[in-house]
Amino acid sequence: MPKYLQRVIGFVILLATVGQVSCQALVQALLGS
Amino acid sequence: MSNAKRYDPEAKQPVLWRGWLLYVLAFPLLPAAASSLHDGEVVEAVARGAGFALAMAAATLIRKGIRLDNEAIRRNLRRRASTVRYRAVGAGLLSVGVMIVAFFGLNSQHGVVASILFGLAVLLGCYLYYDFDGTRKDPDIAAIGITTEELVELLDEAEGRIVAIETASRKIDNVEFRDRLRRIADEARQVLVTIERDPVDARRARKFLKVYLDGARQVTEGYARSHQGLPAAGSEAPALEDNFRRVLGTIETTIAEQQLKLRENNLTELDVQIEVLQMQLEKEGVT
Repeated sequence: MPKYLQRVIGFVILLATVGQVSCQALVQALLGS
Repeated sequence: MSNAKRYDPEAKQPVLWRGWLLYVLAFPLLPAAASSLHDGEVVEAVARGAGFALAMAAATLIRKGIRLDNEAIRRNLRRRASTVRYRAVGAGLLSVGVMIVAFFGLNSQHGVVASILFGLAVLLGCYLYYDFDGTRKDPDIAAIGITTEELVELLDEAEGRIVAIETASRKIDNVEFRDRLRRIADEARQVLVTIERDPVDARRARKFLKVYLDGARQVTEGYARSHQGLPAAGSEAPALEDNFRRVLGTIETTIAEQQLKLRENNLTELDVQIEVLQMQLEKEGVT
């Protein structure tokens, strides 16, 4: 797999996991208060 | 044509944009933790706080791993990066952090299986995006001896001491001392270049780089400090001047000895290589 493709896939996975979890936490915190 | 790149110590370090991603992605966890603490949700607050802390630690470790890699490329070092696999450890911490937040910090939105899947996906994402420190990919990289991390630290510290000597020497009015200190700094830099070319020498020169160079820095700074605010040369305390002259002589001798030792070591290694080749050729009937 070309390096740049590997990076793009890794970036999307991190965005979809770390980004999603932390944004969900923030949204819940904002809606909850 | 050679692909080798010339090492330029003045070259600017590239900005580690890749290393910033995790700081940005995990940042919302901090206000989220503060908000849940404000609402009295202790478990959620602790989970989000722990997730944030683990993500920050992971980002720092991963950045360190990337920086070491960049240093190794910049200085043309082909060695094992470090005894600690920073990027792999960072990815592990991040994975645990995300699992904790997904399971405990999101109001039971995700179950155990989903949280574990999140953790595994984070590991995969880190592997693809950051490339774990590849020891297996490059089996020819020296697995013993000094690592890139130790070497870079040793050289950077030594360079810092040399710069300190140069800075202090500019405050000294005595032209003879300034010239000698400039020569000392130049020759000490030569030692650093020799070590950078052949890092095996680093262990042999460690005492010189750490102890002697630091001693030279302290003495030079002390002398410069003691002469600040004093009237111009001539009224200086002659005893102190003589002592400083003597210590400069000792430093010059030590540096010359160090260079000689490094050169001799290289010659011995070359000698052994020649002998081994000679024996090999004789044994295999080429000569």
